[in-house]
Amino acid sequence: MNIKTISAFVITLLITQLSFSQWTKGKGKGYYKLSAWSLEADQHYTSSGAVDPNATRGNFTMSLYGEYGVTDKIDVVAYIPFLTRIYQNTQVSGTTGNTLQEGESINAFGDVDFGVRYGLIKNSFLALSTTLKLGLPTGKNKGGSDGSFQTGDGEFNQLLQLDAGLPYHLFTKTAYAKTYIGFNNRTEGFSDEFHYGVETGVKFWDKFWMVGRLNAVKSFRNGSLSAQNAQGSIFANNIEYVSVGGDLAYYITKKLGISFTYASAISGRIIYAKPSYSGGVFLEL
Amino acid sequence: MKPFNYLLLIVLAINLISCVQEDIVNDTVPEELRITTSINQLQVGDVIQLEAVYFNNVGQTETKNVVWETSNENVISISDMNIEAETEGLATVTAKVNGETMLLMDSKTLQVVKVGMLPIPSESEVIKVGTLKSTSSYVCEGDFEIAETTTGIAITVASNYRADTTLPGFVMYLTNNPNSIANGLVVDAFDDADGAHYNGAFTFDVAGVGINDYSYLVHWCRPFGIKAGDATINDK
Repeated sequence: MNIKTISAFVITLLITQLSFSQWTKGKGKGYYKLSAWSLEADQHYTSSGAVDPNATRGNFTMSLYGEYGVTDKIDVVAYIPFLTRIYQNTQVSGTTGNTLQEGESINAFGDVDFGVRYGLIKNSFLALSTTLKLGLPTGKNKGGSDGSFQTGDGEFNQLLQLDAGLPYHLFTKTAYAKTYIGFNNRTEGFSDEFHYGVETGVKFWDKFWMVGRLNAVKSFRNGSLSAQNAQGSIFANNIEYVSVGGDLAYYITKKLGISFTYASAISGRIIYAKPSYSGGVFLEL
Repeated sequence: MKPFNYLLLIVLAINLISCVQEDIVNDTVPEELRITTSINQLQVGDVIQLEAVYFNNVGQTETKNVVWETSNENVISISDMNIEAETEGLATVTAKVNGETMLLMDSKTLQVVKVGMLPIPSESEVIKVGTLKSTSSYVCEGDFEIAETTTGIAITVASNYRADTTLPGFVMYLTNNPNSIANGLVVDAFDDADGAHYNGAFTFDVAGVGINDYSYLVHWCRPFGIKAGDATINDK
């Protein structure tokens, strides 16, 4: 799968998970997470939004995510996919048992995101922040025998995002709700994107969070890159999706916890039509 | 259990499904015996060797013992692998082979004419035709004709030809199995020196190929290993 899609998907899924990104951390405080993320799909949303089958492809990513409060109003944010594995199953004849197409995989570093968040408003009723995330082309934008096994998109993008969150109580439980919008300026012929989403989370027994969210990406379709000139990229440009999912996070101690994340595109264009799963260990300091 | 042990368990569990495994492709097609020699006329005294090819249940060629028969030994006689034009007239030659599951046959009617009466074959006589149709959500449509050339065949797609510009890694193949490109021949591809042709009339020259060598034209997404559309190649 072209990781242009996967990267966007991964980044959206991982960076937004339970990090309360509308609230800045506060000076000297941080949130760090080590995650494993997996998506395997034998069908995809086509450019017309229909679902078509494909040879089973997968993406497995190990990553580090961190947020650190430089000041009370400024956080630095980083997402480092230090191991990304892209693979495709061997295609075997159901008639003869012979191999029709050899399976393949590559393991490589992915595209790093680095960002800065600035807290605009932070009080007991509302948190408003803006974040600038820079997508660095640190992954491989060509890999495998046909170049389609990529761990990066080969382009430098800048996502400017506005997050708004508010705390509330669901009966007696601590809860929050948030929403965000963002503009992702992409280079190297990729179309720019509009990102938006909503999320809510509820805390149980003071150590267990249950979070539900919806994330979406709309392409401005203003890029020049297409399947015709993308040299075999599976998902080259103009990806779109609406995904729903959630987190379950459990605090083992006050600072340390584990989480499980599920997300699945319920509609889309040029993106896999199967759910993704991730698990991780996080640390709040 | 320590947190990193939890993580290790999660990583191991997720990694279990991140291995290269196998997808089973349903690629069964009917066995076929096909006379591939394209000649239709002989002149009295000609001795030629006809060729018939056996395609197994995945469309691959296999060597089999082919038996030839003639409908009229006075017009065309058969000896060993050769046929001989005896006198003017029409005769149907039939190739037979024992397939894996049944007796397979293919026939061809030949005309024998007087010496010197054999018409000079047209360089670009259209012999085969077909219509591409989508088998997926991707665009694949258009009529085509296939003619023999001195070096092979020429596939001419009509003005209503369309391939999907959003299909990643687009390739058009000639094949004998519409569900597999394992033995297919690339006609057009996104990574050709001149790129792929997606829209409108065009002629693809394919060298070293006989007019009866393939029975399907397919549009394929190479990286995804899926078919976008296909066409059966028929006699005109």
